[in-house]
Amino acid sequence: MSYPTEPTEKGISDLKSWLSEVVPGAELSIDKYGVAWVRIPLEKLRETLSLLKERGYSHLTTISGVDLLEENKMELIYHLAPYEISGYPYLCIRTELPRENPVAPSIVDIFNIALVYEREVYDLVGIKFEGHPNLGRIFLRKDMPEGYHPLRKDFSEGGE
Amino acid sequence: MGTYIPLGPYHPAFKEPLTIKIKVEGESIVDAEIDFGYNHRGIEKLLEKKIWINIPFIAEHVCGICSGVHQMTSIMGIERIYGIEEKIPERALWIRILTLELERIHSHLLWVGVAAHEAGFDTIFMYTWRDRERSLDLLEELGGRRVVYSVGRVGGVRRDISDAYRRKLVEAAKFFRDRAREYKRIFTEDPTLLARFRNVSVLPYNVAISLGTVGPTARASGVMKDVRYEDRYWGYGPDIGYRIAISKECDALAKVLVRLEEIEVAADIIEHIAENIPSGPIGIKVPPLEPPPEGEAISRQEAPRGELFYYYKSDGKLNPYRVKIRTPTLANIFAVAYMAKGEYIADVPITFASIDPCIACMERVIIVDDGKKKRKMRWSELLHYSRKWFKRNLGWLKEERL
Repeated sequence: MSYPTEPTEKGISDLKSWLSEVVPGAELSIDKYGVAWVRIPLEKLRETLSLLKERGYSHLTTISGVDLLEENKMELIYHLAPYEISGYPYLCIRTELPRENPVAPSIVDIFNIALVYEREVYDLVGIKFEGHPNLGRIFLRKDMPEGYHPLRKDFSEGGE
Repeated sequence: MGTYIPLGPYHPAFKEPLTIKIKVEGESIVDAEIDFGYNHRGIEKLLEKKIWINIPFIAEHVCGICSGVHQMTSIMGIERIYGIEEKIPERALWIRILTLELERIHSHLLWVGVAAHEAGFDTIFMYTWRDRERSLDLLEELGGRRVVYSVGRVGGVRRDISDAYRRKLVEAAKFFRDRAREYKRIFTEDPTLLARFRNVSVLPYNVAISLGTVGPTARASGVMKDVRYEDRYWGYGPDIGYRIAISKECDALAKVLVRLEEIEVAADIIEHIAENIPSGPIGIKVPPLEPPPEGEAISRQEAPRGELFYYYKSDGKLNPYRVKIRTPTLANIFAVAYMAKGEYIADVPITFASIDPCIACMERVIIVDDGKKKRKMRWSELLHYSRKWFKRNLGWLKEERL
């Protein structure tokens, strides 16, 4: 039986053409559970997200920040769900940024709820967002020292 | 102009720590800010230290009310990482759905009671919590415990259900359906409840979409967001009695009625499962010390409060590289600030309760120490230190006893 996020051929080809409007040559891969993954450069992030929101990907589930210590990079993954369109897969957009002083553009004006998610990523992983109105601690104490980001891979918790 | 009133972090109107700073002019609220961070526990970091198949049993401690759905969502992601999701036997999936729906009933009944309590109608609180006992008893019989029941495991479920238990389920489904209808009648007919719930905490359709709300909060504003409907995972669908519960009224009463409707839907699903569950094995074996391949997976499910999301990254080792959890309350909490604007102070507790907040769920992530006094201690060292401390400070206790 079909369901709204089950990818159809039309949905995938539409999604590919939308992505190539912004990022020519973006590679879209669908895993066997029907989730689409795509990698785009950081400078095209805002453009891609606002285009996708216009076309129906209007629900931002969350933003995941991943610390890739060995490759000396940080990764941001934006998880988007389609709403009111059928046949389009659930989409994860990933983008890379350098590990030293990672700064990404804020998407608060595109997705309001990113207010919370960007603060969470800043708090725990330490990626800064340019243009966020009040970037700061959200879960940890407000007076935590600068550079205290527990989900980074070189963070030591102490104890054994 | 206007006066600021801080509510919380510890306040009799809230069940969990949270600050709502409201700006009032006279009796009405002109602005509201929400602040949290009083309940942080560090589960995401803890999960990175555990081996894959142990993760579900830690993940279910994220929440005390919806522990089952946390466990099932984490299992779904791990099975995708291992690549065994399609090999899970059908009977196991049906028992998982049964757990999720029983949990939805107990969570919603709990919430209806709390909402009535916030409105000052404590009789309903007593009644719903009495009815909720029945679903807790059924969960206890299924998993062995009342709150953290650990029904699932990677590869299947831990326990099978018997024919006697199935008969009990059919009776209970009828009971829950009747009770949900009764509460619906009370909420739509009682003048006190109508006065407190109708046209309060209104969340319009456009705002519900643009604020990214999920679950019953969004569905009460007419938004068709339900992961069971969007993804149809594990066989959810109209053929097992599932239908989407939705209302276009947008106010607090609609949020109550949507949840009561969901209890009825859950009762239908439970009845269908009890009558038609396929026979067969309840799980496949997963070697516990065999690391999964490298890769990433996401899993999402519909928790009683909305969309629950897990993201896993594996680097081919025995424990995960990164686990990310997004709980539904975090997506809904800013809708409270929106809904509170323009209302009276007396309506703040209902507005806050209307999203069914679960702060403990929301603030899972890190072990905090203050960064200054940090010292490593071995277990033997700690034991020695504690004995010395006891001798020094409480030595008289021992002497007196001798």
